[in-house]
Formats: sequence, C-alpha cells, structure tokens
Amino acid sequence: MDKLRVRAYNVRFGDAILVSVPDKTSAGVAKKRHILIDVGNALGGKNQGGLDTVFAPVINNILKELDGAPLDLYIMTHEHMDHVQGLLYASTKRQQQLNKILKDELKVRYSWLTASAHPKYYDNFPEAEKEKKKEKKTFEDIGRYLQASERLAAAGQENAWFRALMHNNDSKTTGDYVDYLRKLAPNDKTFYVHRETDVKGKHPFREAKLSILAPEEDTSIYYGHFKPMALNVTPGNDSATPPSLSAPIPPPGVDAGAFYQLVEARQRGYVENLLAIDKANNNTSVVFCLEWRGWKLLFAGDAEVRSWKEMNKRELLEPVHFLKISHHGSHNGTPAVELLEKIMPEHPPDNRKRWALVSTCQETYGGVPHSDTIELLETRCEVKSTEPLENGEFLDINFKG
Amino acid sequence: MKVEFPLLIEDQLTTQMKGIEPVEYLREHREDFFLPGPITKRLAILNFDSETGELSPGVPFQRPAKGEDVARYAIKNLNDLNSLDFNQVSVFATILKTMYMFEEADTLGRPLTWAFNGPQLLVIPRAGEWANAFYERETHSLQFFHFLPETNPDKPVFTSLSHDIVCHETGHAILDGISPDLYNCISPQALALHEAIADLTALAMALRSDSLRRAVLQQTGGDLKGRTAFSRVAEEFGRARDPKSESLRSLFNERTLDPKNESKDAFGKPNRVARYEPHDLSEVLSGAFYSVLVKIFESNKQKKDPSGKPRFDLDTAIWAAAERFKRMIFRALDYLPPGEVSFADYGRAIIASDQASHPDEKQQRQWICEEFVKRHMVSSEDALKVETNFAARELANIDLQTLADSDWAAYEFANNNRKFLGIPEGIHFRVRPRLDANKRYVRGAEQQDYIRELIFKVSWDYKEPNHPGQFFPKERQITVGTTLAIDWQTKRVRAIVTSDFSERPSGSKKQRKLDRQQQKADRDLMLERLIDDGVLLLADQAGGPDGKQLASAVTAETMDNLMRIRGAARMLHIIGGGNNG
Repeated sequence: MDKLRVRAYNVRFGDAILVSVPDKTSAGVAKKRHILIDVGNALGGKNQGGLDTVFAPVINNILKELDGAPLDLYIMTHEHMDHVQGLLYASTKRQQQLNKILKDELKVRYSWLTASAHPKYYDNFPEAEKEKKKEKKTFEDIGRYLQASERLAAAGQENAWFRALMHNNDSKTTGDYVDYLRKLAPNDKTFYVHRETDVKGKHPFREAKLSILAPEEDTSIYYGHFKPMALNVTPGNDSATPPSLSAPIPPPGVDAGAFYQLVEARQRGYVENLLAIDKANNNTSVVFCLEWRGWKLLFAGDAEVRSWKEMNKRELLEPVHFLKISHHGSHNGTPAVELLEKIMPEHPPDNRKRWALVSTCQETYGGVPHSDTIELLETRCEVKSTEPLENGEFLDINFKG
Repeated sequence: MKVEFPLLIEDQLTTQMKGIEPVEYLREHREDFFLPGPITKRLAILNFDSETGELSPGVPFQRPAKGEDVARYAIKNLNDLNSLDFNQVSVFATILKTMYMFEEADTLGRPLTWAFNGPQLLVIPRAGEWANAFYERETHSLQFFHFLPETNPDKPVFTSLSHDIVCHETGHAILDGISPDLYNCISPQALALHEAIADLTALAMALRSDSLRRAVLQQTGGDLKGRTAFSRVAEEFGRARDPKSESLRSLFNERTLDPKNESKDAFGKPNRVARYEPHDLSEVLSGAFYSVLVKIFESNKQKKDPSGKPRFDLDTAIWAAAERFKRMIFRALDYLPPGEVSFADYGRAIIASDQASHPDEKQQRQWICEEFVKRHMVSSEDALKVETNFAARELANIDLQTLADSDWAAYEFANNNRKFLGIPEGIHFRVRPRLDANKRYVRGAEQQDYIRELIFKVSWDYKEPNHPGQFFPKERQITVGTTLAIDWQTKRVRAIVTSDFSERPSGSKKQRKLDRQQQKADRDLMLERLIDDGVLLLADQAGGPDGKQLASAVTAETMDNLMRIRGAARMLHIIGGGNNG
C-alpha cells in the first residue's frame, strides 16, 4: 500500500517540512513527488531557538530522501527568518565546508512564494504599500529605541524576545534569504501565490490536489493600526553617535508619579507595534490544502486569527485529517473553538485517524507553544511535536492510501 | 485673583459655517493655583512633542498687569487659533469649564473626584498622528491626536481643536470618577452609557455657548427638530474622516433596539442597532435624550406669563431647557447603582433624581418614559417606576455624619438593612465611599432650595454562566448594587435605585426575568465580539514580551474559577481606534 509521508524536522523554533506524495507521471507510471515547506529558525530564547547548526543534518536528510531527483515543489509560506533562513544558510555553509553548491544538489522544479514577496508587489497594491511604509518607519523607530535603551544588547529573557522579534521582522535581514528562495526554481516556474491563484500548471502533481486558502492578494487587510509612540529617542548620526534616550522631567506642579507613568505608557506603544508588525507578516502566510486519496492535509504556515477569520468568511474551512499547527503553537495561531470545529470537528465526518503537528521550541517566545491550545487539539487528534527530537532529527506521520 | 482664558466655541469648521466668532472667554478663580502649562492642582497640560516625546515648557502665566485684577496666559498670537500655545490654553479652559458644569449646585453639587489614585488629570493636546482621542484611567490622562484627511492631507485635523471632542473626553474622565465600575463592565449597554454621557456632555457644553446658541436659533428659526450644530457631534472630525457624513455622530436620530424596525436614517444607515456595538448603542440613548431636550424647548416656547405673552424669548427657552435637561441626565449619574448597569437602570436613576427634585413636574419624566419605551430600551413604562421622597424606619436612628465618615458604620448599616438595600442574604457586599452633595433645586419660576444629600452605594456580585470559549472559566462575575440618597436634614429617602433584578420593585417579575436573560445574552455577544477581534485575552496571554500588560488587551482574570473582565471600556477608547474614543 502507498503512503503519503509528512516529515517534520526539529529546526528548533522554525518550520522545515518535507511532504512525500505517491503520484504518477504523465505516462501513468507511479512516482514519488516531494514538497518542501520553508526551512528556517529564529533567534532568541534561552533554549537557542535560532541554533543554526541544525540545518546541516536537515539538508543532508532532504537530499538523501530526494536521492538525486529534483524537488517537485518548494513553498515559502512567509518572509520571516524562522521560515526562510535555512536554505541560504545551509548553501553558504556547504560551500565553505564541503565546497558544494546547494542549488546543484537541490534542483527545484516549481516554487511558490507568498504573493507579497514578489519584488514588485507593492507597485500594484497601493494600500498594502502604504501600510508597509508605515510598518517600515515604525520598525525603524523601534529599532532606534531598542538600541538606545540597550535592550538589544542586554541579557535577560525579555530582551532576547525583543531581539528575536526584531531579527525575525527585519526586511534587511530577510532580504537576502528571500532573494535566494526567489531564484530556487526557474523563473517561469516561480509563482507568487495567494488565495485566488489558479494553481493549474503551477505544480507537477497529477493525482494529489492542491488548493490555496490564504493569504488574500491585497495584504493591507492584515495590518492593524500602529499606535503613536513617544519614544524619546534622539536619532544618532553614525556608529560614533548612536541614538540616545532622553528623560522628560515633570514641570513644577505636576504629579510626578503620574507623569513618569504616562511617559512610560506612551513609550510602551512600541511593544504593541512590534507585535502588530509580527502579526501582519504572519498573516501573509500561504495556507494550503493537500488532498490525496481521501486524506486532507492543511498546512497553515504562521497564519494568525485575522487570516483564519478571512478563510472562514470565504467558507474555505472544512474538516481535515492533518493540521500543521500554525505559528508554532501560539494561542493566536490556532483559531477559536468555533472555527477549529470546522477543521477539526469534535465529531469527524469519517473514521480516519487525525493528526496535528507543531514545530516549536519552548521559551523562544513567551507562552509559545500555548499549553491550553495544544491540550485542546489533543482532545481532537494526535498531536506530534518536533520538540522532543534531537536537533536536526525528524518525525514522520504516514497516511496510507 | 481671576484668570481669563480664551477657548474655542466649536471646531473652526462649525463656527465658520455659522458665521460666528470662534473664541469665547472663561474667567475663573476657583482653582488653588495657576502655573505655566496651564497647570493647576486638578489639571495639567503637558506639551509633549508628538514625534519625539520631548517635553517643552508650557504657556507662561502672566500675573495681572498694574491696575487690573485679571491674570492671563501669555499666548503669543491670539489670532492664530491653530498655534500650540492657544491650543493648550483653550483645551485647559474647555476641560475646566466642563468640570465646573458637573460640580455646580444645579448638577451634582459636589467636587468631582477622579477614578484614579491622584489629584491631577494630565492632558496631552498633541499626542501624535492618529484619528483618535481618548481618556485612559491607567495613565490619569486625556490624549488628543491629529490626522491628515485623505481629501486634504496638507491640513491636519487636531482633535484638541474640537470643542465637542475635548468635552466628550472630559465627560469620560468625569463619568469614570462618578461611576468607576463602568470601566470594567462587559454589558454593552453599560459601555454605551459611557459613550452617550460623553456625547451629551459635548451637547450640554455647546448649549452653554451664548453665541452658538443664538446663531443656531437664528439660522433654524428656533426649530431644533432637525440636524443642527447641537445635534452633530464633532462636525469637522466627522467630515474629514468621511466626506459623505456631517459629523462623527448625530444626536438627532431614530436609533432603536426594536428588532423589527426596518427604517433607515437620511444617510441610509439602519436605525436598528446591534445590541453588542457600544458606539451604535449609545446613539439610542443619546437620541432619546436629544428628543426630550427638543420637547422641553418646544414646551418652554409655548409657556405664557399671566398677561398671555410668551414667558421666554427663544434664547431663554433653550437655555432653560438645557438647564433642566442637564439636571435630569447628569444629576442622575450619582444615583446610578454600582456595577453592570443597563439603559433601564439609568432611566430609573433619571426618574428618581428628577422625581425627587421636581415632584410636581411630571411631563418631562413622561417624555423620558415614552422615549425609553419607543426605542425598546424598556418593555413598558412600569420598568422605570421608582419610589422617592419617603420616610424609612431604617434611617430613623442613624447618625448620617457617622454613616458618611465611618466605613465600619456604613458596613454595619448595610448588613443590618440588607432587605431594605436589596442585598441578598448570606452574600458578601462592598460599601462604596459615601458622597456628600449640596444640590440646588428649582421649584417653579422663583423658588430655590438647597438640599444636602448623603449618597450611599453598596455592591455585591453574582455568578452567571460563561461560555466564550474553551479556555475561559465556566462562570463569570457580575456586579450589581444599590444607591440610596438620603436627605441630610429630614433623613427621608430621596431615592433608592437598585440594579439587582430580583430585588427591583419596578416591572413584573416575569419581565425582570426576561430582562436579566436579555442582558446576559448581550454580554455573551459582547464577549464573542471581543474574542473575535482578538482583544479579549486571558491574563496569561495579555502580556507583552516584557511581561507587562498590553494596552490593546481586555484582560479576563480568573479567580476561584470565576472570570472577571478588566478594562473593557479602554477597548472603546483606545483599541477601537479610528473612531473618536
């Protein structure tokens, strides 16, 4: 009996998933095809969620599984370091250490990248461009504040989280990695996808069916409001004069305690805004469904509540047998019970076994994975986690058909 | 020493359209001191740079010139109404004037207190770029932002230059001090009450401007039964945000809770409002009161003196209507029971307050009752019945000064009189700080009485089923309570109003049960909406990476398997951004 296999690697805090699907050639001959999703991890946390040495064994195993055959489809869900970093990193290391060119070893036939990763995407979506510009300015302001307040260099768990959030969302950092992924497949086989993309002719599968549920093409809907921040930062000119913080002093007659509390509260807008930036980028995740011989597998990237609501509004959510738990098991990556009921109903429509997979690493970000969310999913299906695995090791989930 | 402040009468678009001088003056002497800012003991204007957060010196205070007895703030150019120093002084004066309106003997008759632990409300007139303004208890502050309208991005709209918006936000701060429980309520009507009172504060303050009142009367021919500068809240802001609209909100409306109502307003918006949307819901209440104001005005216009001539000219008729209106709706706020309140609870507080002070003038109360029934805020007028001005044996041997001063005496009084106050047996309760008010009552044309009142509030909690989601506790805490107003001199009960359904005397038992079910259903909808928006978070999810609570979160705290909501009103002011808070 054939089996479809989902292989998830422990890349610490990030995603690297290889899906191997029994399929057919145009002549009707049986052929195993492979989809590789993301490969990346993030900085931060005392558990070293961003440990980069994990990529080498992962790439070795992927190449071994391909056994010289090309990768049929690569999917980059969204432009976050914990999803994009691995292939370029591994490529550089392989060249330095083994004198091998990864692109020669890993031939990619087709690749899908989230629509907004297209180099000219913002030329066509003025609303999204407007939001992106606001995001960029807000991000830069926060960067200056964190630099001036020395949070980026300081020790401590909370500063590690800020570093991770900044690193993950910095388009300057992700730029090279995404650019590498843009060139993985031939130009005419590289597609920037969204919910309305007609996938016909954009993948080689003959039996398995692929459909895209998210993101929306115009990503402006995923942006919330960035709150004004009063960061009290004096911008620096160069490395010799870095940004510095000023500390307002209450004028005579003003309640000093309340004054300092107000100043701090106004500064704290940066925390909300940094999380809003992270959320907006997560919501650009490609969410796709793979159907094969009666099995339905849903890969959700890091989609958050806003994206799930949009999918629900468009009546795209239906019962599945496998869920790649979104956003490493955070509380806002899995939809509310009412929506979850649509994809993992308490009473499933058939007797097939169900699984959920979480790629995560404790204490990279506070509260992720969210234990209540995982426990809720455990009431519906078997939950597999990459967390207990050794670095670079993998787990398999098999679907017989 | 008196201090004179210039202040904007309305936003400049409105005064320009009305063809009136945009500025009027306030002369005051009641504050303890005046410092550059302006800053007083109760109010401080802070001149933060909206981009950098740097603090600049406030507007200098100028002592009276030789031979004068009026001090001023040194505004560089009084003709530049958009200048920062003018803006700071105008905002300060507008807030102070609004506070005085609430404190006067004709309204609450007592000094205001803030809901936060501190003497001073901090005000930032130019807090940054955002189409919003808000009151925030946690930071003791009012913050006013500006935005660039899409239709005219070169001309920023400053919310602190809108008289309506400044009064509206001040109304939030004042109401929070009067009824602090509303800040943590989850009943949509309780949250809507905050919005409605804030809008009505803007209306009452607009009615106090002589030049605006006269201009509106002249331009409407004395007919307020339509859309006027009084009914439109924040015209410039509303038009800049949406050129198709006339204002941010309209008080002249037919908004209703009637589920069968299919009518639409002049802009095509349905008059039936969603029961879980506090901003829309607030229009039902404010629309009802605006309608009553117009009726009082119309009635004043018809009044004749003994010789058969009109008793009031138009300006006096609207002034008198506004004063009566103010007494009805704001004085009632001290009679509001603690905890989760409904529109009906507020309606009863109004009837109680008005009945206690104007026992013989029933018509105005009748109009209130009719509006509440017409707009489906209550099922019948019976639901608004309250008993006032009666002797109670429970008060016979009570020393009111001790009751006012001693928490222990207050607790003992409540414990000994549970039935009288509606406190269920065997339940814990909390006694609130007592209020000592000295109010003026007007009887007929000439008579004026001052009545000193002791206002006593007690609250308690009950549990109700909670099912907003798998991770939330199965029950939530709902706070209710009773307000008792006692005439200090006679020891008679001025009014007693409770929000506990089982103890309330008004309405049938069956109807009270239905009302309670409806309010629970409204709270369920509200929680669903907050969860759907990703705003309501369990306490362990509501922190940022540094562990401090996120300002954008409404927190669901769990204690003894009970859910308590904290900061739902902040959601309206801040998180709901984009609409003036």
